[in-house]
Formats: sequence, C-alpha cells, structure tokens
Amino acid sequence: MMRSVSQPEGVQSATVARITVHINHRLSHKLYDSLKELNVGRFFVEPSRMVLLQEKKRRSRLFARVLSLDENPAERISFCLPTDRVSQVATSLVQEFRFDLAGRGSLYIEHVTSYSPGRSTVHDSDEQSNEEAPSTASLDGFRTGLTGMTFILSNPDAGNQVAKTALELGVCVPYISLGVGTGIRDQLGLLRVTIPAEKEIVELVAPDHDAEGLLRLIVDECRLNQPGRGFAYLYPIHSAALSPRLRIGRQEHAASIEQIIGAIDELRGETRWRTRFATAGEQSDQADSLKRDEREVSLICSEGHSDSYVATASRIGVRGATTSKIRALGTDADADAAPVGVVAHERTTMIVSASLVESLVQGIVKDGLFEAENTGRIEITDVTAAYSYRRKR
Amino acid sequence: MPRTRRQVQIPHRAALSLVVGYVSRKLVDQLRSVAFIVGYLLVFQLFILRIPIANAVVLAIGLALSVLGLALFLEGLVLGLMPLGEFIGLRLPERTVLPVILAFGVVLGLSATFAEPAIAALRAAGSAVVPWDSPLLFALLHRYADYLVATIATGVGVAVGLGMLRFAYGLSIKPFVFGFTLILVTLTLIAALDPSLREIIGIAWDSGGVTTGPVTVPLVLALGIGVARSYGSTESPTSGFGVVMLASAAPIVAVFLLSMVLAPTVPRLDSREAFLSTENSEQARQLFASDAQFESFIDTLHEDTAETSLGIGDTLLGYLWSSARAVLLLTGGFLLVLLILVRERVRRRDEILLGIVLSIVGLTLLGGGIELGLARLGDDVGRRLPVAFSSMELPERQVRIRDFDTGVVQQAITPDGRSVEFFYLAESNEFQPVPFYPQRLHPYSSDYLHIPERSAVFGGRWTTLGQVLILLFAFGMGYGATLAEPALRALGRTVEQLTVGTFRSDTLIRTVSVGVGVGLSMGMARILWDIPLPALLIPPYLLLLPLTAFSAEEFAAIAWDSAGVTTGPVTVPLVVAMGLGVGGVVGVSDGFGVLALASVYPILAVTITGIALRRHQHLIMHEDEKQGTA
Repeated sequence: MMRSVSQPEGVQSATVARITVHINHRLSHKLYDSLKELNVGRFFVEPSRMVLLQEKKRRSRLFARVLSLDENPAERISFCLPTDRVSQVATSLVQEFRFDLAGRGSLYIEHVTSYSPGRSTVHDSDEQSNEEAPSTASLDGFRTGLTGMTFILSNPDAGNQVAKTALELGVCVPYISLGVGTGIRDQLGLLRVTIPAEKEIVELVAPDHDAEGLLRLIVDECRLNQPGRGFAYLYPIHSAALSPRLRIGRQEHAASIEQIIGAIDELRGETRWRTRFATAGEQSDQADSLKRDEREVSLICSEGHSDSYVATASRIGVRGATTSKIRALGTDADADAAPVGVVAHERTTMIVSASLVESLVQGIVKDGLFEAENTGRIEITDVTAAYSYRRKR
Repeated sequence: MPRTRRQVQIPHRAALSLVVGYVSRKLVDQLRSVAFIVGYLLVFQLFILRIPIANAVVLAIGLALSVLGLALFLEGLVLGLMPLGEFIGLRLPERTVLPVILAFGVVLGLSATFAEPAIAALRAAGSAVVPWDSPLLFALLHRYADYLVATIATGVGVAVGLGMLRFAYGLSIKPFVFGFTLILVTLTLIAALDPSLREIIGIAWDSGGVTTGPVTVPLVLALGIGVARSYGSTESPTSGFGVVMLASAAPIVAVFLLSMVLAPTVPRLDSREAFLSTENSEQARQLFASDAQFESFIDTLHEDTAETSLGIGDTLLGYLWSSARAVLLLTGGFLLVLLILVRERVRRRDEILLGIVLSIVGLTLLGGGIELGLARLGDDVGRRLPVAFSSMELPERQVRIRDFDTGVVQQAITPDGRSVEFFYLAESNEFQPVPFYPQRLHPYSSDYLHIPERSAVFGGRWTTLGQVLILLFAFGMGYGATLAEPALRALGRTVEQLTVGTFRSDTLIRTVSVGVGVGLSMGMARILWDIPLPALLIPPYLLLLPLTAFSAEEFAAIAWDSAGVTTGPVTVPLVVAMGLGVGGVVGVSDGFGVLALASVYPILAVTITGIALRRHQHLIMHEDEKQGTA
C-alpha cells in the first residue's frame, strides 16, 4: 500500500475508491443520469473507443475466417467515492447497466490517495483517517485478483495494434483514449513540431498472475522495446465487472471461450488456474527493465492550466506527462446540486518514482492548484511495475 | 503562469533528420491526396479526349506548388489557426457574458466574408451571364455586387451568432436543420414560380457553399468546439459541430430575400438588340454600378477579350495578398479578442505564430499552384469536355492558309437539300474534306483562317453515351478534387480526434467525396438536359429531413457541416471550368447551381453512413440477444 505523503496546509487527503466505467457511447447519457441520482458528486468524462474482434462470415474455403477490429464509440467515466459507499454505487451500476452483456462496457475499482481542496462529498463523508487501510471486502458479482495495465503509445494506430494483441490473447476488451504527451519533446524548442505529441492510451485489465507476462508479450509483439514507441505500467485493481465478450460476429459454439473461462473462474473462485506465464523473475531480461517503486499521479484541473504544473513536475525531475481532455459533469455536493462551473478539464498522468511524490504534490499545491480552481485534485495510486525503453549499456 | 522550460540542444544532424522526416511525411500525405485528381484529369485529357498537354513545365510547377501549399496550409491550420480558435472558444464563456460572445460570433461571420470574398467565385461562375437573358442575376453580379457581398456577410454573421447561442443553451442542431430546410425549400419554390426570380435560384444556393472558405471553416469549427466544450451543456464530446452548416444556410436565405427586394427595380430587356438600342440605353445603364462599367461591358461585347495570363511570380504575388488578407484579418480578430476579452497568454505562442505564417505561405502556394496546374488542367479538360458528344473547334491549332485559291472550294448537298461548301486539305500526305466558311477568308489578303474541328467521341446516335461519359467524368472529378480539399481534411481530422478514431478521417473524406461526385454529376445533368435546379435540389433536401430526424445528433451536425467544406479552392475552379465548358456548348449561360448540388449530396452520403454506423453500434450492444445467450 502507498506510503502517505505529508499533507500540505489547507489540503485534504484521504484514501478513497476510484471507480472507472468504460461505457458504450449509446448508454453514456443514461449513466450520467444514474450517477447524478446516486449522488456521486463530480465525475469526469472523456471519449474513448471500445475495440472488439469481429469474426466475419467465411467467404471462401481458402480464407477460413476473417478477423478484423471493430471500433465502437465509448466513454471513460471516473469518479472517487468514500470506500463505504463503493459497494452500493458499484452494485447498482452493474445491475442497471448489465456489464455481463456484450458491448456494454466494464467497471473497475481502485484504491487511490486523493488530494482535493475544501469540502467535498468524497472527503467529508470519509470517516477514515489518512493512515487507515481501505475496506477490501470483495463485492458480489465482481472479479478480484486483477491488475490494470495502461499503455501510452506514441505511434498513430499503435493503440489498435496493442488492442488486437490483447484481444487475440484473450485478455479483456481494450479501451483506447487519446492524450497529448509532454516531456523531452517540449524542451526542443520549435523543433518539437516535427515530433507528433498525440498519444493513444490503451487500458486493459488482466489477472494478477498473468499481468507481467502479458505486459512482456505485448511489449515484444508491439515493439515497445524500441526507442520512442511508448511505455506501459501495471497497477492494482480491487475488483471489476468486465465485459465478457471479446469477439463478435459469427459464433461457432454454444458459448465463447471467454464465457467458458468466466464460468470456470466463478466455479473455482479464483483465476490462478489459468496462469500461462512463468513468474516474472524466471523470464526474459525485460523483467530487469521493469521499475517497481513507482506511482501514478493523476492531476485534474480546468483545461489549459496543466502546463504550469507539468513544468513544475519537470523541474522536480518527472520525465514526462500525458494530458487528456476531459469534461467535469455532475454536481458539487455542497453546492445544492448546482452544476459544475467549468466543464472543460484536463487529466494529466505522470509515472513518478515514489521518492519524488511528496515533493511533486507539495510543488503542485504551492503552484496554486487548489487555490485557483476549486475543481483541482490529485489522485495517487501504486504502480506495481512500469516498463519503458532503456538504452542497453 | 507556465515557467520557461530548459531547452535541450540536439546535434544539427539529428535536427536535420527530424525536419526531413517530418517534411517528407507531410508531403507524401498531400501527394496522395492530389494524386487521384491529377492522374484522372491526365488520363481523361490524353486518352479519352486526346488533347495534348500544353505548357507541361508550368503545369508540373503548378502541381508541385499545390502539393507543397496543401502540406504547409494544413500544418498551419493544425499548429496555429485551430488551436487559437479552440483556445478562444474555450475561454470566452469563462471570461465574458453571452451577449458579448454572440456579438463576437456576428463580427467573425461578417469579417469572414470580407476576408475570403466569395464574390470572385460567383463572378467566375456567372462570367457568361448576359443582361438580356438574366437581368436580375447580371445586376446582382455587377450593380449590386456590394449589396450581394454585404448580404452574404450578414447571413454568415447571423449564422455564427446563432451557432454560439446553440452551444450556450445546448440546443440540438435538428430544429435548425428543419427550420432552414423548410424556409429554403419554400423560398426556392416561390422563386421558381416567379419568372423574374427564377434566374437567381442557382446563385442564391451557391452563395451558401462558397462563403465558407478554407480559413473560415477550420477557425469557426475550432471556435465552436472550444465554446461547446466550455459550456458543456449538451454533455456530448462532438457537440461543437453545426456552425458551418448554419453559415452555409443563412446566406442562401439572405440572397433570396435581397433578390426579392431588388427584382421589381431591375429593368428587363429581352434581347441583345433591345439592350444595345439607344432608346433603352437609360434602362440598360441601371444594371451597372457606373457609366464606366457600362461602357466597358459594351466594349467587351464588340471585341473578344483574350484572357491575360500572368507569370508565375505575379500569380503568386496576387495570391500572397489574398491569403495574407484572409489569414491576418481573421486571426487578427481572434488575437484582439484574446488581448481584450480573454486576457490570457495562449499556450505555445511560437507554434501558433509559426502556424499563422505557414497558413499564409501554404494558401499562397496552394492558390498559385492550383491556378498554374490543376485549374489549367481542369480548364483544358472542362472546356473540351463537350467533345464527348459534340464536335468542337480547336482554335489553338488554327492555321492561316496564305493566298487561298477559292477555286478549290466545292459544293456538297445535305439530305434536306441545303448546299454546303468544302475543300480538300492536304496534310501529311492525307487529303481531308474540310467545310469552307466564307467569313474566314480575309477580304484583302486572301488568307484563309482554317480552324480544325475535333469530331465528337460519341457523336450521332451515340450522343447520349457521350453525355453519360460527361456525367461519369464529373463524378470522378468531384470525387478526386474533394479528396484534396484542405477544409475537409481539417474537418476529418477534428472528427477523428473527437470520436477517438471511431469515425475515421478517411471514412469521412471518402464519403463526402462520393457525395460531391454524385452532386457534380447531377449538376452536369442539369446543364446538359436543362433540368430546372429546384427539381434536383429539393428532393434530396426533403429526403434529408426524415434521415436527419432519425440520425444521431453528432452525426447530423457533422453531416450538415460537411456541406460547407466541399466547395473549396480545389473544387471551385474545376467545377466552374467544367460548368462553363459544357454550358457554353448546350447554350446554358451560367454555371450556377452545380456547387449547391455538390453540397447537398455529401450531406446525404454522411447522414446515411452515420445511420449505418449507429445501426452497427446497436447490433453490437444487442449481440447477446442475437446469439440467444443473454
């Protein structure tokens, strides 16, 4: 579990549950309404795409099956809740949106340390102290023992390449969103325009015991072990309701392989039976290139303001950041259901060495994240392993 | 405030390699986008119409400049103009009140029309209009040209203001679509039934398409996306679209209304003789802004004015002026708003400045390159296109036969008993019968001017096949030219980003291009068979009403916006050349209406694609029910 960071003055921190929902775009407005009804406070929305494998009808005997990627509009919605409310909200969403049906979406829950200004639902109703461990009770109908995998990729269309590999390996339904990278590129002066800043961010969820193996496999398959291709990291997921169907179109059997695996998981009550990789230490030299003591720091602020915080991070020693455009919807809990003032927001994600987290938070707070905008917040979560290209010596 | 970052110095060699890689990527992209239209026109010219290429070097320079211009202009849009527009759109609602935003929208619309004057394109399409056939149309293009520009500007201004209002209150685009369509259909029907207004239907509809130029569209699009994101009232990531559609529709209404006001004041002189007669001189002068304009027009009637062809340097200089005016006037307005209302430093100022410079240089090279290359090629093919079904004279191959002996002229008789004269011309050991025209014989020197004729590719009973060939040509040309339109590329890129790649830029560009191709074919059909414009325009618009009602909000806005981006710097010169070429042969004096048809079919194409995608999404969500596993 994360070490706590000393709390800057005037800032409230707490360990909370972050719920991320990837939802089919056609259901997104219904989800907004449900979140407002459930009184989750402010939630952040960004467009994404859900990628599935589509098996087309066989056209001739020569080409027995045609597999292509099917891209569908989706939205990534995230919000934080006190851990004692997670069960009620998550269960209600799963029941209403039936994530167990194909093409609807997925939901997962993480524990994060959240820093935010003033009074808010999340922190006010959180009775736990900063040091108290969050509730880890598993939720009915949710899968546990999972790890989140995020790939931040530089090349156009690399997102689909990772998604296809993940789908073919039967990992889960991948969701891709967009971001803009800042880092070394911004220190090149005007020459930076020659390097595309756009990034594709792929999010996957895999069983704990397979996550590193899958990471290595995807890194190899998608050549992330080449300079400038991108990086990836793993983080713990408390529980999740994942979309069951990775493949659409012609089905030759009564149940898909994902449905069979899901059923066995449920019978055995665990996922370790399907370990397919040796432990990380026994594998290739990439295991050595994984960094262990890292944190994911997510910074949310109104759009156009993240530059100064990223500059501060860069001064402190953070090598790069990825910023995505998001919208802040919902209501402020203590504002009598008045809508959020500024809708356009940004989420900046940085992978930071644990030793830098404290000075980073202090620096950003000193820069006025919580003074200038009452919607600013920082969320920090553990990173169990991070991979990025390192030049061989 | 962002702190200054430390700069990293990289070796010159590495920097050069980065720049070379970047430039070559951009050039290859644009080379691909123009390859189709260039190849298509060349194949048509060389192998179907069999016309040799004149000035191949200038043509090649023109094409190279077009590719370079497109690459620079698009990069300028992406680096400078669009981020600036989006930033201001994002900040305005935070920093100021709605009336100020509406006023800014109106001023932006007004200045867009003056920055990118559509009147030049309209005048080109109406260059063959004569005052005795279409007096109101002629007066609009000459005496009331300033009124026309001001009316179009007001239309665009009101439209951008309406667009901002829509974002502020999160209103759907659909009521605007239905409202404008019904108003436009009604106005068109009223005009079609009134003989004095019938002639302006084409120009009214075309004025909608040509107002939205290559600088205005991306700026307005970016501004709309910024404002919509800031208000966020519709809670949809793609709610920033729709302003371009309004900016295309409102000027049409405005031009119809102007024409209705002016129609009673315009004198009608029904023939060339009546127009030129001295007793009608006073009335004829009323069609012109000044006596000098009238005299100059009379002079052009009596002598053939040869088009003066400018050199490459002069052409580029002319385009530099118009490009700088368009970009600086529009971005200047944005920068003023930034300083006065937003009062905030824009992100990456150096990139925005570079973008503005690249836009000006790119637009200059693009305009010059198109005039020297693609337009010339299009003009050659467009003006010769009627040879597909009708024989044509080839004046550039004319020969002066010295001391022509009229004794060689012989008589022949036509099936209806008419007597015609001809003589044998010996060329390259071949004897060819050639018709004799006495008026080509010089009265004093006895020189005879022989202008060779090219027989129709599909003549006689195959004429219809020749006309179908023209429709096919129009389709391919519309498709190919639209693939290279910069404003469409900017729209495609924005759509792809906002939909996170679920609606790919290529899909949108190809769909719109197919629509433009179909629209141009319809336009040619109108000219060839003299079909009334309302008969071709109204049915697709009426069909669009239920389709729009059925389609998703975001696709409706994108589809209707795509109408405004189709008529840009690549398509317009080619369409005008083709319209005039075919119109001249079949006796239709104006090429109006073709651009309007080239706008409506892309809306139809994108709407249908949107409905298909939506249906697909529905099927994905109900896959389990379909498989019976739920």
